[in-house]
Amino acid sequence: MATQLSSRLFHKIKQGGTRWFYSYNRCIVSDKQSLSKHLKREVHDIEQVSSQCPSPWMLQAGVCLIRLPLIEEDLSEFQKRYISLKEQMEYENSILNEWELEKIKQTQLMNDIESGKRDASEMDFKVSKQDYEDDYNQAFKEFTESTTELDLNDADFKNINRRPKDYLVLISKQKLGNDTVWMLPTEEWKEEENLRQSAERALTSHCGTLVDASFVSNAPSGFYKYKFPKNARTDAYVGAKLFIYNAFVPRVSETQSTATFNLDIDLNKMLDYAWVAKDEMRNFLKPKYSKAIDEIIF
Amino acid sequence: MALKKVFFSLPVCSSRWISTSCSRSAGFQGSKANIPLEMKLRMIERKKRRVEKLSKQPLAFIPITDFFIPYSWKMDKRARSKLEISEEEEDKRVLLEKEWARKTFRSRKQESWKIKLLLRHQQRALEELRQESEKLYNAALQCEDLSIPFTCRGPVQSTPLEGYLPPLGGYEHTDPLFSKDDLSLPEV
Repeated sequence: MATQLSSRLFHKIKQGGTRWFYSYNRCIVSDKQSLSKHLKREVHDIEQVSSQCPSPWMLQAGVCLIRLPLIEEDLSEFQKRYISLKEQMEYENSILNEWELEKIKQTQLMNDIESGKRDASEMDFKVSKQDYEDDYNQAFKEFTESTTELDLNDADFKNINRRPKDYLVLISKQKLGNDTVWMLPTEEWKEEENLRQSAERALTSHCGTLVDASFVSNAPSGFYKYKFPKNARTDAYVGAKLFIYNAFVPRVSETQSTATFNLDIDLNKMLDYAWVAKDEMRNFLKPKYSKAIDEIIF
Repeated sequence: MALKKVFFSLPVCSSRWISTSCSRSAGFQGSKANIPLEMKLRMIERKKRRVEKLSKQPLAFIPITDFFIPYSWKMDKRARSKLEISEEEEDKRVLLEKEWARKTFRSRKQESWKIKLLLRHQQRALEELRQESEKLYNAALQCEDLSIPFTCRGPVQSTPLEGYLPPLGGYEHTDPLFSKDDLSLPEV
């Protein structure tokens, strides 16, 4: 089912010197048919042209391996105020429970005994509920959390458990031509393969086969197009189209609050790796590249 | 000549004629008033037998449901003494509630915007893929081999302690499903 959003978008594509314009309604698509309904006319033209001259873009599949946050974010001041207000209101609108009823009875009984209205033999308790409460409050004041929490080193980029409140992405340093570049683990698409399979291959070839990652869909989550530097350009390829696939580091058990990352590096492919949060990506990656990834992570 | 009283039949359609004693299932009024003693005794016995039958079965437990308040809780002696809230305090509370409404609306909007962005990026990637090759595009739209249902545990509240090994396994709920409290008669 396609649902239409409100505005139209005009998109400009440069292909082999000629310019192609097309417009499409932005809609949330889940099957082939509804997309083809909008693009059918234009796609025919493109296909005819592409069969005549093959596309100058190399197809690549990249993996955006995301480590989800391990620890909740702190409550803001406002949230704390609101929570305390709600607790206060719940207390005010509540009725007395059995403990409190008993307590009231007992205090009444003790007052009556003191004033002489009732006999001392009617006391059916040795320790009153009020005394218990006093004890509990005293114990609470004396209690100190004497436990030391794990010091998760935020500065070590290779530690998967760094910055437990943020979304982290794995990036690796690879050779591109003569330079070493920080980018997502990518692999060129081979024939007889889906793009998703080439993305999975990218992950295993860079990080080894022991890595746990769950890919969510067969469709790519993001897209980035770049041109090779002029030395690296061949007759066949002007640049590359990178299709990014989202994968998540799984955390399945309730009690596990740290993630594990079993690496088996192939040092020819991956010279270095880092787990990087959104604000740190600019230090490693080009701005457009980091923007492309930024908006794919939630 | 004496004037005769003539009753004029008013033009009333039969469907609007309402009579309270003409209900079909009502039976005869006062049908149970004058019954011979024997029949009365028989009826009473029948009722007794039915009650005995029901009382022999064990009482059915009522499942614990939070939204049914036990009758005993509505008695006055359970009421908390009301705190007096000054006007300023009330104003503060109301303003806080309004601010909270504004903030949640805003955060909801941001979340839905993020989701829209994600979908938009996926859309664009699919379109670009389509331009490259139809075959790969079709393969990308396949619904097999997906990790559905996708399960993922959410974040924890605090960092793990040093050298702490959590116990293995999940949680088993041992709360009783049924309560006996609701069956007690109201205290008078």
